[in-house]
Amino acid sequence: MRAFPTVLLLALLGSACGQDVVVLRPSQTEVRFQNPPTKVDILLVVDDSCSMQEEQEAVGEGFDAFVEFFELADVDYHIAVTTTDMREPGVDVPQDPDDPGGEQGRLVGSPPYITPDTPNASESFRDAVEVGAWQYAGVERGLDAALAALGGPLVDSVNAGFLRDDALLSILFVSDEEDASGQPVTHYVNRIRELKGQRERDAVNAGALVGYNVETGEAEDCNGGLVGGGAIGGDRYVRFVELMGGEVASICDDDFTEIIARMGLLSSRLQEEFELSRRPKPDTIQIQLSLDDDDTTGEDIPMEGLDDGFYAWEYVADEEAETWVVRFTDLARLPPIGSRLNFTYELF
Amino acid sequence: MRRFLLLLSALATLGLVIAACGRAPAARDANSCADVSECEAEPGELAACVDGDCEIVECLTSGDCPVGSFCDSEDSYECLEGCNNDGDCLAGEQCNDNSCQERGCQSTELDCKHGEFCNSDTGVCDPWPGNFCTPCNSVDTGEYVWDDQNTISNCDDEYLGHATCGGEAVCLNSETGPGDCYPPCGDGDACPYGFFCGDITINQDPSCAGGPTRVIARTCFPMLGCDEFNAL
Repeated sequence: MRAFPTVLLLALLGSACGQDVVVLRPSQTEVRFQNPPTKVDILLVVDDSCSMQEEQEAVGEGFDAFVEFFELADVDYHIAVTTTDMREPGVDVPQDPDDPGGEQGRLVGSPPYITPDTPNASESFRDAVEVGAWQYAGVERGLDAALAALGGPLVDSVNAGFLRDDALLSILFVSDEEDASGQPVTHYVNRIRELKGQRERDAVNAGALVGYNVETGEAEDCNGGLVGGGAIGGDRYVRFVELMGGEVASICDDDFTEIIARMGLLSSRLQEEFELSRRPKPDTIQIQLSLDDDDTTGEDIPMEGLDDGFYAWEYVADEEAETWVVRFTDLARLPPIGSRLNFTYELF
Repeated sequence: MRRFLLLLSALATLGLVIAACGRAPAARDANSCADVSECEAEPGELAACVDGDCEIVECLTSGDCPVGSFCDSEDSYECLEGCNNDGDCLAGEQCNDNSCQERGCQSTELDCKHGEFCNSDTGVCDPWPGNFCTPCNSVDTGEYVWDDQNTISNCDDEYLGHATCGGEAVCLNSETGPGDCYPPCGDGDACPYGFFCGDITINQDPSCAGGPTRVIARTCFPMLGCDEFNAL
């Protein structure tokens, strides 16, 4: 009985303080938000050489798919188009003194850029992207054209208003031939990043629809190259996208619908993937989705999604890169803007 | 007395428990954390777990820092000058010992300017040796003379001539006037960036009425044309 105080003390200490003394972290909760930017400027640089007519039409028909994610995210967008043609009038085609030259970075279409308020935006987009096919435009200089459109004197003249200081920027190239711009690819990457300031490294991204092998992830001739009606590998465009961050697709693909939608998603910055900070046990991952601030607990989202198929997801692990990612599988049914996602999981 | 000792013992035990556990609530307050994932920030701010407390910080990853600096995400969560990896440097640079240094070229097409080639030994883009896309001073009259094998025979210093262009570069002129110097290329030989290796052919029939052609030389043709190339 004399030992009672000691036993009581140890028992009390053990039971009352056990959680603080023994540090176990069997599970983890992370909070993420679906917060895309409010403003994005998108420049399409479209090849207007003779071989591009069909591809222009296919891209031009994809406006609804392209802006789907901007509308979903309520993003204030500016979409503009220029060509890869940097010909100087009267210099490059001496046999034709009437040749008006290329666009040299000037925005094409009327209005020169499309916004959420543009009437008949789909029609304007189609008209702008179908830049035509010109026999003199056979030397494609897409990187030069992008830089001229965004960083040269045109910004203060005919292209004024398109590029906004407080907007993110996406540059998308559409071409079936290689870029022939005069400087190293890194020159264009650094110059264009400078336009947005070097603070936000992710303020600019890029996409390319060019000669490319999706399986190998490398630029490559496709469908027999130009002679066979296909495309030449776009090494320089691919390199630009690699350095800038973004996505490349093959211009030889039969159906552009999904490609254009993915380019739209890329430009909108709406997230389909959420990286977890630690390696989870895959079968322990739980997701709660809150649609507004008042909903503190959220709704459980099973892997197969809700009954209507919304928010289906999968877990993707890359052990070599040590990345652990939850990816929402249906691009049309991503977590909505402003939603809060709680990821709870046990550590691997 | 015994009752008093029991009471004293109980009170002492309670005091010890309170004292022993007293720090726990303070260590687990709303601002405390064990990991950055437990910290939330307002839009436009970044929060990290610093010394057990969530704090507003300058950066979480190097992507939050200007190019040429990196995030000290192990300790201060501040942007420090230098680099941790190539992604912290300008495109074309690499990170060596926390310092961004020029990477050097690896590919003529990707890393060099028009008219240069990548010297793989030095990692430097060198100008292509010799003259090219520079006008050659042709004295050609436009009247080519053909030998028995239907090859042009009087063009040594004019059409396909080397004297003006120097080295192995050839002068491609035309019947309308002086031409430009083009660097030669053989099978598999690379051309400087902005040029492609192509055939110069002539008709077998001197009358130029068409018919079969024959390759008489291979040169690096400028993709832009010499006028446009020189205007760059």
